[in-house]
Amino acid sequence: MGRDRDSRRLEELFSQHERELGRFVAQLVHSRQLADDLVQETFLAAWRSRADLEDVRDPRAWLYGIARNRVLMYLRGWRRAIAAYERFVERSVPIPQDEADAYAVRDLMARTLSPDERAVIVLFHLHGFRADEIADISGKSHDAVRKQLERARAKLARAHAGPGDVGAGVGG
Amino acid sequence: MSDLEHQVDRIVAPLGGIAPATRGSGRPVARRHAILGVAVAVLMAAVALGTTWAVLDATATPDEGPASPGQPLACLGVVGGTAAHAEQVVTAAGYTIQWRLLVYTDDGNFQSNRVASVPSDAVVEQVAVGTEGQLIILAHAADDPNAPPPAAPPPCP
Repeated sequence: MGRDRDSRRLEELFSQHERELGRFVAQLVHSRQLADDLVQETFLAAWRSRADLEDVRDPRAWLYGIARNRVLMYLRGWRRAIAAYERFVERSVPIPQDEADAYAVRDLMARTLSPDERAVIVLFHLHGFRADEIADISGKSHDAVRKQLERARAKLARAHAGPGDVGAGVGG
Repeated sequence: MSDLEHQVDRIVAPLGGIAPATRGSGRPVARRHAILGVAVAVLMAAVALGTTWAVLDATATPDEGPASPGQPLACLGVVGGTAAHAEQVVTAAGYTIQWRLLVYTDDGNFQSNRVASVPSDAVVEQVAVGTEGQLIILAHAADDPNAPPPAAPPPCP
């Protein structure tokens, strides 16, 4: 009975946030198929932990935390090999024009930032989470997230400016 | 908000319009896992097959060679004889020789090293015709303490 209630609640919660979670994953992972898989895995992981939902203070942040973990697991782990293969296959497929800019930004982030830094930048700048909320999502201290954000922003800005403009436009 | 935050906002802005991934349109995770499972199973089967092959290969009766009964070098005392004797016989029969020296270890394993020559008193264990028509002669040193006992001579008239 309780499990049915948890299941319904999770379905509702996930449906409510699925689009933004899907966007969050797609902003970090090149391959569309892989991104879809990761969203699906996020749902499965949430489903397995649905009994915990009752004690969760911020369900949205909880879902983001699960999605972040799935993405980082992929970005850091053995599935990179699969992703490399998929990227190789996808190289022959032209990038849609309306996604070319997004593709370039994702590529810049992948070359410049660690997976953790990428996630923190996307969560803060594209999903509106504050540093203390990201700390809850990632299980880090507020201070650690704040420093990581500063470091990641500086790296990204430097890389975006290009080698001739190192430091240009980078403030505190 | 700092200048740097504004700058990063602008840099990552194109990602804001990206189409979200969905849990419905991709290949099911289960299918991906199944594909990986099949790949792992095939790999394990290949390893098992390789192991079986290695065991069979190690325990199999040697293939019939030129010194086997009924073959040109049979009953000439090549196998079990000295390297010097073998060289004399097979050269007279028109073969080019390729020597391999077997070195046995305490645990019953051995190494087979291609060498230019072997000691004249080395004991010939096996002969085989190589891919280029040369005669490969495998011999071990007469004083190799770990070498196996000589094989029984083939039935000869």
